[in-house]
Amino acid sequence: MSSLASALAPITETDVRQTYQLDGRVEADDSETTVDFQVLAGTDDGAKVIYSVQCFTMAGLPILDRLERWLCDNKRLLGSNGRSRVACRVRFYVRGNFQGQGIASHIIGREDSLFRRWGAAEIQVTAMEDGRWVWTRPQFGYAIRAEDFLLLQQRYTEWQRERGALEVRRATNLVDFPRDFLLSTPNSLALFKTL
Amino acid sequence: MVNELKVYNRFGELTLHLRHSLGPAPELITIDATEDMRAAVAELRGNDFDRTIAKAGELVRLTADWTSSQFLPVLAQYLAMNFGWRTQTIEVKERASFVLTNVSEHRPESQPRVEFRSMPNLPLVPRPNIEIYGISAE
Repeated sequence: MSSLASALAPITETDVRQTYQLDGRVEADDSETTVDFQVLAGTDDGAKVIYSVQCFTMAGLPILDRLERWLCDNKRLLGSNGRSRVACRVRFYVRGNFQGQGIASHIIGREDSLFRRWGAAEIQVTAMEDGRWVWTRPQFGYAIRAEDFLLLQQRYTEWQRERGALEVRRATNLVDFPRDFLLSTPNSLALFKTL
Repeated sequence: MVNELKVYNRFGELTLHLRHSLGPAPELITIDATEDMRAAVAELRGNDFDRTIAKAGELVRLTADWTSSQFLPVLAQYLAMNFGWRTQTIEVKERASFVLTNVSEHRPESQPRVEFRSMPNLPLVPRPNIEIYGISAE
């Protein structure tokens, strides 16, 4: 068994490739979809599969700016103590003219299923740029560690003072932080979803 | 060995003062803190630190074991880089042979300012454990 097959087991390369079939959305040509794999052994997170995906239309136009995922065999969990298999969403951009057509939702749902079948205990994402707002929306099901929420709460209090707020509001949940705050203040958010 | 960390908010007010005592049973003592910071510290206590954050389009991973002398310096880096707070770490070795002070301050248009001040002819400790991935934003 190759190192890639071993690191992916019990799923296969074919399972990964099929996850990114767009099933006719935006006139995608699924036969042209490419998935490039790299396997790193002995990292701090155990054996690690890094893969990137590109999808194309019938006219040969790229649909993604790039999609990159890591499957880490032994990574520290964010949602609990200990280590386990963890899938990391590293980068995911849909090109501008293909946004708003359900591609991201289609892929995310299929990926969750793939990661679960691989045996991931958690999906982790470092949310940055617009992702700080998008990934914290409840429909994606991500959570934040308690200490990170409290640090964010401290920063939110300062953010309101900087703007001269007469009454400082407290957030009780991740979704309570306003968009302007999330998009301007923390550089990134370490989020996780327990599978 | 004892490490101390002071964190200042955007108004220059001290919001957190921590002491990390190393040895067979490390302790994290809150000397002074706001309510939120005190609660955050309680959650950090006893756990290895591991966060990946975004900085200038790159992913930067900050890790430190709970029992490591790098725990507070790495935490300071995280608070400075991700939340824009000014941090100060003070390391006191046994018999107070030297004191190293590391001050960082978030600057939106540039890298954080880092200053080292040490006693003459005494060694600097290694920088915190930082791993940078050459990967751009989500």
